[in-house]
Amino acid sequence: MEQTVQQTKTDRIKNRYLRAFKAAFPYTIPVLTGFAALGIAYGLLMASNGYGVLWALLMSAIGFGGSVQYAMVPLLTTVFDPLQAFLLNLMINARHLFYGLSMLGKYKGLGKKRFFLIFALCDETFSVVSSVDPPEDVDKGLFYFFITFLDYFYWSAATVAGALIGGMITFDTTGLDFVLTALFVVLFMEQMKKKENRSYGMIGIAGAVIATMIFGAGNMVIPSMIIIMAVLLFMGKSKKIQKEEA
Amino acid sequence: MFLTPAQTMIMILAVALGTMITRFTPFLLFPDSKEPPKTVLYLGKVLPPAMMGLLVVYCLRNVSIIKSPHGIPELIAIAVIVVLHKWKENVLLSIGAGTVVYMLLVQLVF
Repeated sequence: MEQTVQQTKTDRIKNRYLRAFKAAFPYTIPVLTGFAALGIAYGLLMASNGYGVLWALLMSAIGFGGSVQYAMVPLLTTVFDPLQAFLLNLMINARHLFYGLSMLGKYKGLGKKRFFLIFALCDETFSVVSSVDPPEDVDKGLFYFFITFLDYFYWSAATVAGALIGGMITFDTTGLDFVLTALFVVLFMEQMKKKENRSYGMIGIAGAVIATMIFGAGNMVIPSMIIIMAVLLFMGKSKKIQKEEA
Repeated sequence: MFLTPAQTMIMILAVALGTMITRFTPFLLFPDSKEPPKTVLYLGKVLPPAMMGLLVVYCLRNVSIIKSPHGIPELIAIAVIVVLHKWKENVLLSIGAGTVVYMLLVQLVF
């Protein structure tokens, strides 16, 4: 009698996990293709710069930063500067601060898995979890966990694949690091699709160009952010004043 | 590889630290999902496009208009990306084609 009760409980738990997994998986398919391509390219890029499977995997599994990982590659082939790596990361990933803000409600009360959910909240995962709710009979925490975990897995696995291929093929990879520029140009265009974003995008470009001209290419990161923040906050304040006067 | 294993590990940790700070801070600052202040919400709206603009310039910060090849491969590759993306609206295609064009230009032409 007791054994049957225990079996039913294990089955129920297995069913809960399986149901959540089945519900989550379809949402990760678009991410699978994207991460497969970008992850493999990243692995290739790392391998071509002398960083094999182990390092590429560690970067992907521990850093898990997508575009940040690409931006790091030049920094791995020049003078050791972890401070710049850290600051660059903050700048590139600043938008994650706002992903977190958007998910405050949804991620409430999900227990220990919250740590992993937040750790692995990359762009792609965010775009899915912020717009999708699990079906009625599916455990919310497990649903978001599987989406997050699958995306994380795809990225790590693709990185390994790319690094392995990179170790075997030898073709001239000069210019491969342009993939980062290409990525950002496309992401920028995606942002600019919305009319209300266009002035802010222009401010970003202008601020960065000015900072580069004044402080030079090597020092433009922090000045750019200061200029941009100052302009944005000033704009926000004057809009508020206009609204209050009206 | 260029850096020592220890240096590389530190770089990975620097990345992890930055990533974790940006991801965990909102949940640490607003643990009970208190409504964040208006300025924070405003920045949440306006920073993403501005940041993307900054990042594009960041990638191109070392391009010299004075010295050969005067940024022409970058210009051509970006033009290809813009046109292709407007036409096909396919993220991977635009990134892939733009990168391939750039690599061909830099290896074979310039």
